[in-house]
Amino acid sequence: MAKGKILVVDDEPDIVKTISMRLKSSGYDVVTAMDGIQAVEVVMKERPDLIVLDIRMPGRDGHGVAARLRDSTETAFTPIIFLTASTTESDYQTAVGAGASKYVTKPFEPEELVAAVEQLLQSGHKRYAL
Amino acid sequence: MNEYFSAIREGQIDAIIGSDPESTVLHIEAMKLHEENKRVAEVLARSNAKLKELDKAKSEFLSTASHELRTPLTIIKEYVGLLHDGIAGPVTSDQKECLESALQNCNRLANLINDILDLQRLDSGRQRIRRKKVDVAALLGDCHHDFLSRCQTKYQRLELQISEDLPPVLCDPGMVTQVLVNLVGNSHKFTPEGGAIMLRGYIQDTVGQYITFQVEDSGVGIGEEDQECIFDKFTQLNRQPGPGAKGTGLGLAIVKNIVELHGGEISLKSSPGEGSTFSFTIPVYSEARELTTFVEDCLSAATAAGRELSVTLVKLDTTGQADSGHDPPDEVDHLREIEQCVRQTLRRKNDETLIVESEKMLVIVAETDEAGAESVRRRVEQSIANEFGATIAVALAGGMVCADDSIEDWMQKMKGQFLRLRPETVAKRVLIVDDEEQVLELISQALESSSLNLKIELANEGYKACLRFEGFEPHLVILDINMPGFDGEEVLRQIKSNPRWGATKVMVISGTPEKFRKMAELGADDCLAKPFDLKALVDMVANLLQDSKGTTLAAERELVKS
Repeated sequence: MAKGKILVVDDEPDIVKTISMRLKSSGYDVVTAMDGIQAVEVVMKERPDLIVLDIRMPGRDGHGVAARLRDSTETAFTPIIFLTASTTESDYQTAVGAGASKYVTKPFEPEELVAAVEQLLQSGHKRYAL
Repeated sequence: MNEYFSAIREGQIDAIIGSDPESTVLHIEAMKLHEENKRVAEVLARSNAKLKELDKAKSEFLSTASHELRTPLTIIKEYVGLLHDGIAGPVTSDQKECLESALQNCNRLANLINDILDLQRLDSGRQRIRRKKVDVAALLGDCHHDFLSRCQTKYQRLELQISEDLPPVLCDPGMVTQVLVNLVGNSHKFTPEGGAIMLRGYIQDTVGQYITFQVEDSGVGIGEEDQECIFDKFTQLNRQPGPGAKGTGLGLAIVKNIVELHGGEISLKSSPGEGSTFSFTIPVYSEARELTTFVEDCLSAATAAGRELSVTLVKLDTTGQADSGHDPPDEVDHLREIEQCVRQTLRRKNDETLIVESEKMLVIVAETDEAGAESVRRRVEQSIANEFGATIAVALAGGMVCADDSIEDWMQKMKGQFLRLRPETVAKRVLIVDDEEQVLELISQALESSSLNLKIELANEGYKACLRFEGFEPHLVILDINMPGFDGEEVLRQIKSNPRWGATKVMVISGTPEKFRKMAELGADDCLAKPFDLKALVDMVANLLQDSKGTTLAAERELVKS
């Protein structure tokens, strides 16, 4: 029995692959998307319990996805872990403003990511709607 | 003659007409000098602008490059990690050892990227420093605690020595902790097993303006020729660190940068084989110092971000409150209330407030333009309770204030902008809402001809009234209940449902007094039945505006009487 269903979104196939492997080995079901538009489609279809979301993607970026999900009552409270190589404070502020539950900087410690996922799912943490 | 030249240079004399040939020659010479000065100034301004542009390009490049480096590094590290953790299949112990080394070097590269970005942020002044009053013993104690078990694994003694009764320091605790962690980390690395590391905090200077933090170790020490460049970027000395990852060569450059950003100094005493002692100073906390650095930090952050900055000073004036008969309200408490109210209108992360208790002053710094500053000022005005008068000063940095000004220059310049705000001199804003034009006319005339100092606006429909709240921010709304469409009840709900208008008074007027109880329940402050006596209306308005903290509902009293 899987511990939960997680959507991993990144435009780098290798990032998607490594994170998926890591999460699967920790007992989660994983679905993936390679861009923002696909991500929203997968969310609507698969209803994941949590989303690991890259910020900088071509087309609809992570902030766009978060904003789109926030608009729908069914997805507004799905926790999101933002994953990004950017460390600028403005990105951080936008992410928190968009309702990020957690913000993980690349390169990340795998334990850190898995712990964040576990904690968010266990505490039933809700993304705060603005 | 010198005076003459300097006058010419300063542009006070543009042209001189004279028949004296000597003075004509002098005049020509002076004009030449003046022209030359102008030319040099232009060249300097141009090269200054060019340098700023280059610096910005450098920052952007570093930020992009670090992003491009991070992504592949993340991928490599994760694949290695998956192999190492056996998730991609079983690994032998030899293989695991190789992967361990690969991971360590990935981390080293990641640290280097982080250090470069840290240093870049410090260098460019984009690193926001958030200073506050910090206890020295807590700072050193936390660091001691964090390193204790790590030192024990190397059988090193880690001791803590803090002078008694040290005053607090003014610093960004996160940044000073970074300095301590860096220095103690180095000592830990370069001190052999069984050695000792000592953490100290004491006052060295005679005037007691600075606290000295010291990290002393019994490690390998540093040669004299190396000591000169040890704080430079990318300096890796030929020291034998023993096992463990090598540093990035940026740690001490970051340390020095942070200490200097705090207005302190760092120094090193060492000789090879006899250990090293790093000492740095951090200024002692004082309210005046906190205020100065607070404004300076905000200014430099806004300058770096290329944003306009407005500064609002609110100084409470409590003269004359003694004869009110009440207990004197606490000014600092009230400043905190105002601070809370104002915080709701501040949006940007760099918008900050500071209360200077001894001065009974609130400083609000916001990255806004003139209109933004005006709305902050209005918000302050609205939230000041009636027992207090206040002086409010608003200045826009950028225009009249520049980042290079000292705080004294700055206060001096702001003085011209001071605005005395006293309860009796502030015009109170009153919004009258009624669908009947004659009623609007009647009430506004009555109020205008009264002795009250009022600013009046009118609205003949409910929704128009709601639209005016934001721009006009009325102290009092005189509200008709029966209006077509968006009626008085709806307007009242709108006012009361928004915390921003919590302080706004509402007085309802209606030809149907049966509705008053309902309106009182919804939060109306007073009521008046139509047709009404104009003098009664003026008295009621005066009463409502004066008694801003009154809680007994006159409306309720009316109902009990009838």
